[in-house]
Amino acid sequence: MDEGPSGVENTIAALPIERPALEIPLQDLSDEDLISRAREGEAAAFGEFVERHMTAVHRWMTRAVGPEDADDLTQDVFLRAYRGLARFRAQAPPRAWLAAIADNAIKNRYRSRSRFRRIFAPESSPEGLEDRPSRDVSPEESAGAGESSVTVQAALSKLPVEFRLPIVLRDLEEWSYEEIAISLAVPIGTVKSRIARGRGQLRTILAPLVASQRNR
Amino acid sequence: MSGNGTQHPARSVDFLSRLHDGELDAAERARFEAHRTHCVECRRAAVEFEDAISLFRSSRSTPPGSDLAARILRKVQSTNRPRSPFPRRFRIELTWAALLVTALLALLISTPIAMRRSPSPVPVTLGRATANPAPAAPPPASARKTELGDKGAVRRQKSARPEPEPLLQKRESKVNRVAGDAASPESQKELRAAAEPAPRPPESDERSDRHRDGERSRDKLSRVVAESPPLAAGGAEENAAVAPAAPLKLTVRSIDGYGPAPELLPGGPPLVLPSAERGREYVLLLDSQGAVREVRPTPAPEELSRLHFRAGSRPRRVLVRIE
Repeated sequence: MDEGPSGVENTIAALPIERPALEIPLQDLSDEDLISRAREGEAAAFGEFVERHMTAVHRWMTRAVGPEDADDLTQDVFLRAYRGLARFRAQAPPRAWLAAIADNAIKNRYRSRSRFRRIFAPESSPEGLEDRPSRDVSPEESAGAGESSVTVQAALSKLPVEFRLPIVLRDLEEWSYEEIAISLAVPIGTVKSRIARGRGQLRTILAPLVASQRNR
Repeated sequence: MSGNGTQHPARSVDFLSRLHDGELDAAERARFEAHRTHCVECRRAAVEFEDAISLFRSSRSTPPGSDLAARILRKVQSTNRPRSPFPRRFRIELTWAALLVTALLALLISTPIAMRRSPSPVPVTLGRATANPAPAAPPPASARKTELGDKGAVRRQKSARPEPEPLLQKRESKVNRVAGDAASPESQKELRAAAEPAPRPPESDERSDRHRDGERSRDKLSRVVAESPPLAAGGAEENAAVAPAAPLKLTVRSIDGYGPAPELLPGGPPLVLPSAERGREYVLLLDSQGAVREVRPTPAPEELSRLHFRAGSRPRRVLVRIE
């Protein structure tokens, strides 16, 4: 199936008789077709779908929750997608559907983490939505070490959870506001407002790093 | 100059965000450019905003592990299949499910119908005097009260309260006992015979028949009937459900103070009463010929008005208890 037409198939194609359509390689199928086949139980189709979108989902998750949890959450997203194949209605692009699942996964992650903190560490931040950076690195240290990615990650982890994926999708993935709004099932005005406020907070958080790089 | 009409552009993240996205219209953009040339704060804010987003964009993301796809697929394969529609998910055969639902619906519909027919007719045994009458369910307290003091109608009784045996024997002027145990083979034969719907003779013929039967057997007065006419079309199953009920017995007592109650004459058509009548009492007003003129309270079973008693010298009032 994946190896393309074999010699036998070429022979059949040369015969002037009616023959069934040759199998299309999974790589040539659209996302919707892959989902449709996966829904009918074709595991290879879902495997192709995972291969096609795994890197993007992992990138979202790295930015939104940090590299430590990105693998787990990426796995979680595709598992949820597999379980929800029957509910995919093709009204939005498959990547928007994945983004919706990712957004829910991120929120659930922080909801449970916030509950955990409320129970076991009541002195922590009352919102419970901010993630603690895995390493407490100052912007100056990061700039000095040339690890801007770590600082950016630390800055993202300080954003409220509902701002993270919209900013990632808009400023890193360059999605349109409309597609983000469809994915997250919120009005486009809400998406714009969240992204603007998130950008404003990022500017404040990243200001020292920006200044140090400018002075360099 | 303001970003949204009231706020300075440098302090409006919405304005800066729209500026970054290029969403300002031509007029807004021209006004802002003119303002920015002489506003240091706006120039600095715009530059910082752009630099922060550029830094954010330039940050590198760690690539996924090489085995992440394999791990995901392993996890997917180890988990359940994707949720299919309800019947497939629970492996329900639609045909069997439809049959089951139909059977349940039929049960639900037929149960209330069967319950409504539950006051099923029960063979009635008419009493005849015996030396030692079997202990019978005594009349309820309210019935005794009516018998002793109130001359009005006896109300229907839904529950019977036990009464001391001597009092019962004292009040019963005569206990008519009739053979006719539904469990005996003879009675079973009668039950089957009576189950055949037969045209009812006119009243006069009925009375003469009763007299003839009375002469033939005084002690065997029971009229055992398996079913009443309205239920005759009910089907074999329903009749079978009705037949095993214990036979009813009529006990007659005088309540007018003129001596013992007149004797209930045997014969006549089969007497059928609903089983719901068990434990109820009715007052029968008899004329001097022994025919029933009135039954109280109403509504009362039609069969009671067809009873016939031995003629006397005056109208009588008797209490009939169905047991």
